[in-house]
Amino acid sequence: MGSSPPRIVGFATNHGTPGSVVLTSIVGTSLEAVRKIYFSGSGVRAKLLRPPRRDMIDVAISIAADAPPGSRTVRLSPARNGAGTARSSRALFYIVGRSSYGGISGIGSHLI
Amino acid sequence: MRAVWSFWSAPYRGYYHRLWFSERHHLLSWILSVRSAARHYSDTWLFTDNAGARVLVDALGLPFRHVDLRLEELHERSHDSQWWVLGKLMTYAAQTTPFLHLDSDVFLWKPLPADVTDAPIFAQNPEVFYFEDQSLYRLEPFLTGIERLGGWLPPEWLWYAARRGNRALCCGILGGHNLSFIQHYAKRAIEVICHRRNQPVWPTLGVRDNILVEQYFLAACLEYHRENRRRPVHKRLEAAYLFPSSADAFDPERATRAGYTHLIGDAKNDRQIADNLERRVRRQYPDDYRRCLAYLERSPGRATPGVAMDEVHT
Repeated sequence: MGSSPPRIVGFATNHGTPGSVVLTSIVGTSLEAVRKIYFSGSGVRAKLLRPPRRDMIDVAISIAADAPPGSRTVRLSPARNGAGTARSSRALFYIVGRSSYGGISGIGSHLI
Repeated sequence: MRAVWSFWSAPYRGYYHRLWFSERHHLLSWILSVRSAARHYSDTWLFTDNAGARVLVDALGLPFRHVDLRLEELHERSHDSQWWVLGKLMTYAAQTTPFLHLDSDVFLWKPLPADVTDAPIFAQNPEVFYFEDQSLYRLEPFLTGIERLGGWLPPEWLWYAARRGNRALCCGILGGHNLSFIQHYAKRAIEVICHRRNQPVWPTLGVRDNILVEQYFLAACLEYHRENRRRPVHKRLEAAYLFPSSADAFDPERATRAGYTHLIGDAKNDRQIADNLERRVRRQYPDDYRRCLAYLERSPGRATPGVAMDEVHT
């Protein structure tokens, strides 16, 4: 009888902005065999920071500067080449835009 | 109408001082905000904590008619100071007479129009956001975290989220005459932040989405109680705005006509704006300016970041 497939419960930090690296942990069950992590869409890659524990994987999630905002699903694989059994998860990671208040000169700042 | 400011010092010291070009410019903004609004609204109140009063009242000598120290309770109860909006919400909830709350980066060159200040509730402008954008209102991660860890949200929030409500009120200014409603909204918002079941949720979200609780939830409350009128205090809930939209607020001509400045977002850290702010205060309020510099000289750790102190005297 094989071990149960990995399953994600959630992220310690579940979002990041384009052009950043988010150091976070994936929390779940049967995670000890995971070797690769894939995100849906483009511009998001994850690297394992240390060998996973059964209930947690510490990861660095790199978000490309041109990664489009929105939610991403996550897929785990026990093989380095992505082959083998994998389980999609309903847990979501979010790419959020920078504040849309940013990059502007405020409201009526010319009046000062 | 009473003009009200709030300053909870802990979040400023811990976090959002970084938004300002320097500590000096933060204090200069306080001077200009209070002095410009006091020309139109003489009943000036400050809600703060002991540390805030030492700076704004004792050191700067800003002309508040009344100083309320109830935000000291936030220290005593060890509230999470990443929730900087708690200071504003406690201040909204404490109001007993029609009022106008101003952020300290808002300057009123003219009085607000009467059709705004006469309203049951008013704010700077309405905002519309799109769920895919998530640059300001990160509703989906918030709701996911609440749901996953069994958090709590009030009926107004649940109702509005179920309808996919995507409005908010920009609260550079906030006030009105319907105090019962404003108190209800503010207390509910405080409850969202402080609810026992939500405490495990906040660390999982990374950042505290303060404007979600202040600005999005205010829209949720307004729409919920407009459509579910059971209590007389919730009648007359049409909000008035200084600007009809974000685009109008950011239009320089509109801002000129309104006589309104809000150093929203990155404007607080813009060198040209910081220089203009300094020139304006030095020219128009020289005594305040000197007190500000004297305070910073006595508190050298407060002079950074930004321009070095030796540049201040040129």
